[in-house]
Amino acid sequence: MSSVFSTYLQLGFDHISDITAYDHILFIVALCAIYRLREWRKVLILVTAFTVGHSITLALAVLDIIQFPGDVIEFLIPLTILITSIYNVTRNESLDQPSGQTFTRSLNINYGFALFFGLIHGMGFSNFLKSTLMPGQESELVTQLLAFNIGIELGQLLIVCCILVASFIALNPLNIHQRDWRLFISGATAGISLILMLEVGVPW
Amino acid sequence: MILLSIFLLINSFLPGSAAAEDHKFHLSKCQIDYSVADQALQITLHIFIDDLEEALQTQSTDQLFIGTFQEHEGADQRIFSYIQQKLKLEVDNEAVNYGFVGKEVSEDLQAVWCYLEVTEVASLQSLSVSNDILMETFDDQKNIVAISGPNKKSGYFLFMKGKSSGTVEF
Repeated sequence: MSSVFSTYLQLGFDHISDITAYDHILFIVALCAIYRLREWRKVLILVTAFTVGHSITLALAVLDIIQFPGDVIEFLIPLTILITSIYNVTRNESLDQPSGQTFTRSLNINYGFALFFGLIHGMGFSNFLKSTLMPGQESELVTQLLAFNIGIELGQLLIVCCILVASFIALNPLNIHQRDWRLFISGATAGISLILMLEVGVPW
Repeated sequence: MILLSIFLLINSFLPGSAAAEDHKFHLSKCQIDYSVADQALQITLHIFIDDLEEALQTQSTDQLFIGTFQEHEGADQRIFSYIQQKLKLEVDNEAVNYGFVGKEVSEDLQAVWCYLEVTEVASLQSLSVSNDILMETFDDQKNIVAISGPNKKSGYFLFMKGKSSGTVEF
């Protein structure tokens, strides 16, 4: 394990799955809270939308095409978690009925949200990735960016699997109602995101 | 809206957040370049100042105020001897010593760049690096080491606790 690629793959994976810096984990948990294991296709589409979003801003920020103050991003990330959690409990429940269709109107809205919030999280990722770069390594930048992004994807998939399995266990063996599970998870993520926002403080 | 007001209210009672200024991760970076012309290994090390102060305070009671106008006069020596304990190099399986060229504070004032050099390296077939800087102080410390050797060959390591050394063959 001594290549630029494997190093940045690991940095990306560790960065998103780091339990002590759990803001990205929390967002994915909130994003997945309303789905059952058998709806994994929808989750996959949502997570892909999130990925498209954060890949765009990660690349643009690392290439210095866009810049955003770090403290504003640190505040906006928990805000995306809070909004997602609130959306989870306020959304129209009739949409929960399995329709057999992969794309529904509500999924399209979620898709847009995930993409937009991905843009914000990508800025957060870029602050970390930038801090690992050294002057004189510019020729490696594309490899570093690609490997870091793939590392993030792998970490993200692991988190998605964990939450879907947890939801399966809650809904089936434990027989918890889907609605209760959704409220329980969304309440937890909303509460934690508020604490994160208080810790960071309003940056303006 | 109500939620936002409550939030703003609570927030106004909290002391100004220093947390936002901190870096959230424990990471050092090290670039080692072999210069054929100078027959030397030129080493650039990037370490966060607050982490370094914390590590050095376990070795002595003085605070060094690294990078400030009241910096301790023995700061360079302390930093160098700490680095010597933590960063070890072997050229072609033989331990080598490096000298301290100097240090400077990074642009964002959060870190120091330390410059080190191994001279009289006539040939370089293999380079072993062991870097456990700050790992005794932070369990989640990670040290990146990028090596650029002769013949455009390079090596790249991500060191962490329990895995802090590696070798590159050129």
